[in-house]
Amino acid sequence: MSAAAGSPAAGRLWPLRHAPWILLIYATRSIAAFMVGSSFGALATRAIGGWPGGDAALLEPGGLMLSELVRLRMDSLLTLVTHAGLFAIAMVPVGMVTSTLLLVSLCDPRRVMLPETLARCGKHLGPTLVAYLVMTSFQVAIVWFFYMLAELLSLKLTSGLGVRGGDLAYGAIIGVSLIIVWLVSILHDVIRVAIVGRSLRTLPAMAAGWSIARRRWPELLAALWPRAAGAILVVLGSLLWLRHTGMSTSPRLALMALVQQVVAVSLVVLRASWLSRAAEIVGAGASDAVADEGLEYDQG
Amino acid sequence: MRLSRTGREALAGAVLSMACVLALRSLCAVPGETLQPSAPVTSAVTPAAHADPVASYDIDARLDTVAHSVHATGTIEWRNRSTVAVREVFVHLYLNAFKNSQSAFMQERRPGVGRGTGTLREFASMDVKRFSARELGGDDLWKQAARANPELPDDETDFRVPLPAEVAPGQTIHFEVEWDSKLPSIVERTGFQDTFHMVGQWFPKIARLEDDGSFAHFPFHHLSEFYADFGTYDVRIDVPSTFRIAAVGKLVSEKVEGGRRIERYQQADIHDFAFSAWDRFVMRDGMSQGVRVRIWYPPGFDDVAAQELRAAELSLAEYGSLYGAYPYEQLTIVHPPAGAEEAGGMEYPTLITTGGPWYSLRAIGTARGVTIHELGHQYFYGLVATDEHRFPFLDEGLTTFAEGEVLSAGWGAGGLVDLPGLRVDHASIMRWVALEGRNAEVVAQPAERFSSASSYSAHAYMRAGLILITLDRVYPGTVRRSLGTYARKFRFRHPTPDALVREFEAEAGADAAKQLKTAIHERGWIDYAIQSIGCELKRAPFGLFDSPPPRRAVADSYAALDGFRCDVVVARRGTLTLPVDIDLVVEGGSRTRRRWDGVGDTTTLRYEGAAPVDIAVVDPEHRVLLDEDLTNNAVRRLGPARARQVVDGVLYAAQLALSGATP
Ligand SMILES: [Zn+2]
Repeated sequence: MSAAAGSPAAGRLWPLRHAPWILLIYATRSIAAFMVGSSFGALATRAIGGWPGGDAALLEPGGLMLSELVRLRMDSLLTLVTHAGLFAIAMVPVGMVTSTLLLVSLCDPRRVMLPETLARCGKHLGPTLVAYLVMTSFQVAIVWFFYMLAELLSLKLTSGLGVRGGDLAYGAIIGVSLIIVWLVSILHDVIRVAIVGRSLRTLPAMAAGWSIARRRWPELLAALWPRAAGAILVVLGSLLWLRHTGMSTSPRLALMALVQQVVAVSLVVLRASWLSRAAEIVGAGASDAVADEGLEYDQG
Repeated sequence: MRLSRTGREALAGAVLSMACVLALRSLCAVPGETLQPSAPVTSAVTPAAHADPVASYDIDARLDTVAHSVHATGTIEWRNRSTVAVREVFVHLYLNAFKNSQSAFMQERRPGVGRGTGTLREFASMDVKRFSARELGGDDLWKQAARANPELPDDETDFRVPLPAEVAPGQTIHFEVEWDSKLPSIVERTGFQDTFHMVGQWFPKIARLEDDGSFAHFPFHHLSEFYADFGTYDVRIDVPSTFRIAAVGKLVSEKVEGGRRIERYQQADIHDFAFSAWDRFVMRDGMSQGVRVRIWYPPGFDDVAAQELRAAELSLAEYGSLYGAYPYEQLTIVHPPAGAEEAGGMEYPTLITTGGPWYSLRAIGTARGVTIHELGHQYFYGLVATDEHRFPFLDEGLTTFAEGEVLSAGWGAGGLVDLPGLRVDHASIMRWVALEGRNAEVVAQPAERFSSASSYSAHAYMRAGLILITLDRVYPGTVRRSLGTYARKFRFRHPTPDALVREFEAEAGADAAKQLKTAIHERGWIDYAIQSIGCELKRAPFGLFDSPPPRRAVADSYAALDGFRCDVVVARRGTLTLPVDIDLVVEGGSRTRRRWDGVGDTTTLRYEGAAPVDIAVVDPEHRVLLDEDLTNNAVRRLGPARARQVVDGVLYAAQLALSGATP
């Protein structure tokens, strides 16, 4: 068992030593997002940069210039959207590296020096990647299965419950699949913590993760709940503010950009906080799992 | 009591979740529907109170909801309203458009493009059993009836019936008629779906007789609608007692006996009759402007029905002030069930059909848009009653424009989309669809000449509407006022496009009327652009000068005088000539407005002032919505401004997306 698990300092987010990794995650995402934003910006600049107020015209009520931009530049926009999607996929491995670096830092009560962090991250990256592929495939399969189920039942649902009832039941089936997907993503995080925190390979980590999730699900859900709700709240807050103040003038624009970046950092911090708490729970869960099932954990 | 850490976390989660719900609710709050009635169109013209009744129908109809057929008998009271004697009548059997694959309607369908192109699971038929004229001997005249269009030998929607004797001008005769109509599976506007029945185009209908004694008859084309004389309708509808009926006209009596429901509907001053019957209808009603509004809809569709009812109530007031009061006592709305959507989006006198899923959002205005559009038809198709076959734009185009007027009055810039940060109005969507049609066809042409349903919609609806809104903005308020006069003056009078042009000319002048004619008859188009913008410092004159003699040479001192001299070149492409504003925005932000009458290919605006011109904008207030490209309407002398809000917005969206998508 790793020294980190269960120790009181494990999972504490606030030591500043985690900050570089949090900033690294924020920075890589921001750079990627900036590249996407800039290509859309270049297109808009070319199309309506002549108008007084520049692209503020796109936000005017009525949507005339926005619809004009989309109508005249539809092909380019579709190309950019496709590129942005592919770019997001390309960001997955980058995100995996940066989040594993953060996990290494979170799972150790000491300050880990850079070379060691890199080395440990390198070591855990393989199992993390395998776990990612397995869990993501599982999630896709779940959605696909429930979607097929809903499609299969849709006629029966409509004839039995009426159009509205049938549609609602259809939506409920898809909703259930999304809840399961969300639960699986919690399990996925627990597995990743087990891989890094306890130096496990993929399969033992999955077994450990499952065992801990089964025993300590109330703790896990309670830990995730405020952090997830907090993340949603800061995003909604930024949108509300945008709706009520609008943009268009330079100082407001700068302020809005600042608020958005605060939200973006908050999202990383909240996620780090959740992973850190998960590391604590995984640490605490290790002992009862070993005691009850005699699982062998130190194969890593 | 001290909570455990898990308890504290759960408590925090609950509080934050509640905050999320509140934030979401406030984010999604859509402003209420408050009609801001635009200034009423005051017109010296009072619309006629009644139509001249020419063809009146008295019908007993029994609907067989299992065989999906109607057996009917009736009397058509018809008057020769023309100035010459006639020896024939033309009768439309529109339902036969769905009799087989060889009808004009079926042959003209473009697979997959537009309405009415779905699979016809059950064919229709209309069989006239008897058609005799009481005053002309009473023999069955249908034996002599022949298909009226030799060039379409397989089409059975348009028949010529020779009469055994002349009918003198002003003479009235009575046709005794008996027929069977078998409904098709739901196809465009009519048919059945399970037990839902939309019974339209179901009776033998006499073609409109023009002043010169000719009949406006035509086969039922795929893209064509209808045209008929006004009259009074008195219809008894007999359905199984478990069914409810929504019909044209006023319900004057109802009874249930022997397992049958029999309802009687009467209405004067109309030119068509349709009804719907279903054993699952739900109904709610309201009042507006003294008109009883009833909506019949499927179970579970209460919310969208409420939206439609509200839209109808609001727009009765607005339409009334624009085009004269709605003259009937009731308006009936039918929202067809899922699977019968093709019955939706249609207008009959005093009855309209709508559509949309039960979860139609108020923030997306399609339900109200359809309702307001179909209700708008009451004032053009219904009351003015133009020939929809020859001049479909006079109905669809004017209605599309009118729909935009009501949506703007009631829902402002969020007429069709009202989401946080995104409000889209009717004009933007109309412009999009119209310009996507690429001005490929003449707007004011007969329905069957349009190449496809999408082109029909792009030109007869949207481009016509776009032309009208452009002219109304370029010559402010003139279309609005002239349409107000036109709708009142020609109520019940079946005018042609010339009448519309004349009314517009009276308001806006000959030049403007010429633009309207070019736009609707000659595919007129326009694109304004800022061609170039250049400035230099003003300098003292230099070169060779002869006056006063002798010639002297003045060297360029390179010394700047006070201020700048700028030339802005504005170009107009296209065949329309519309006056337009040009704004010159000077460094520092002050604006100078210039006016160009639009004559010529280009104009050069000379500006002299202390600071150079930074930006030139042609049509800054977006009056010329017909302008093919708005991105070339504004140019900055020093290059375009960087799209910072787009960069910021997309950057933030991408950050959020990456937060969710990357591990
Ligand atoms: Zn229409």
